[in-house]
Amino acid sequence: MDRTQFFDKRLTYLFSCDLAFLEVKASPQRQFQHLSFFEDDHAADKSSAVYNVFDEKRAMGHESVSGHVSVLEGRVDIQPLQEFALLSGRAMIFTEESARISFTFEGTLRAPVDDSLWLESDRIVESKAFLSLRFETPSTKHAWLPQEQCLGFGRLAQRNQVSQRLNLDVYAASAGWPANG
Amino acid sequence: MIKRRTQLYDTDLLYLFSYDADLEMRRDEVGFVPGGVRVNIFARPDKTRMYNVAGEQSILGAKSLQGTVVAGMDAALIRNDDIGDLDVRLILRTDDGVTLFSYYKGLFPAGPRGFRRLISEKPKLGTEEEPVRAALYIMPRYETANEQYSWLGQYQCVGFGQATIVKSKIRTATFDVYAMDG
Repeated sequence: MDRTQFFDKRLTYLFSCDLAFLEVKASPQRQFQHLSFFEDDHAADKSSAVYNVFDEKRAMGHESVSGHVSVLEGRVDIQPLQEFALLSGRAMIFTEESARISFTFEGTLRAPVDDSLWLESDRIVESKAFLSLRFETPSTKHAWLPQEQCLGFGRLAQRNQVSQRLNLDVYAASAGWPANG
Repeated sequence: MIKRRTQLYDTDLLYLFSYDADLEMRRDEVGFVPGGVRVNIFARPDKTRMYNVAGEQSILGAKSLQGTVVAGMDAALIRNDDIGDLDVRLILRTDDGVTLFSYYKGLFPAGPRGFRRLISEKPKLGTEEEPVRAALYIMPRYETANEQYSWLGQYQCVGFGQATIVKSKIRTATFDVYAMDG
């Protein structure tokens, strides 16, 4: 028999993750674009930030994650004749207390209604990013993070089909009842 | 120095449909592999229903999704760090005869000592009379060549669900599926 009530659903904000691509190269392929980002962990002037937008120190009863993105490798797969693309990849966060947290991401990019992702344009085109994220870390302080199914809502800014900036807000999904166990 | 934002992006979850997966008693227990225990779990064809909880006939301006699962398999890894990784392929058929393909990963947070409790402890977890209910999360996408349902393809979706566990085996899984938007 079909259910007649929804399960509770919650999204809990964890942190944001913004980065500006430093070295950008146009891909020779039109069907996909390669995303690559690397940052020296000790650089004084960072091109990425992992932070809490509200400057809150805790999330889900744990200390907030803050630091920067060390490395990101990903790709945008263009879907011919569609107003969306697929975005996937892997990245690593280096936290302020020197912990490393790696994560995978995959999902979709949707172009603004009056634009298309593959449109060559001199102006910045912002696509909306909707991602599934999963985390891994050897850090005991952040050991709770791999237990969470996370979602990313964000923007990928491109110019002439070259990615300029990726901004993400990261949330944990929960079903509104106590954790398993 | 990158400029920090002071506002979050919008987060909308648009309800698509729900489904209840009745899982076969037969399963391929691959067994202990590096990192945990692997088991392939199959959906019972035609016993798994896709429907609208609110009984709506349309969603997002399109026809409501209703039908059955034709075939489905989850190659699940119950990790020894108490996390279950789901890796699912589903073929769905709507009541009007359209085939949808879905593939997704998901998370079963087994909780403290969840690996031991599921794999080795006696008595086994959950009984027919009192099944254990546990949270499940999935992140599906959908593909179809049918124009009527092709709009689904642009969405990264999220499913909030619940598994029932009897004798340490997942017996059913039921989800509400939403499209991420904002």
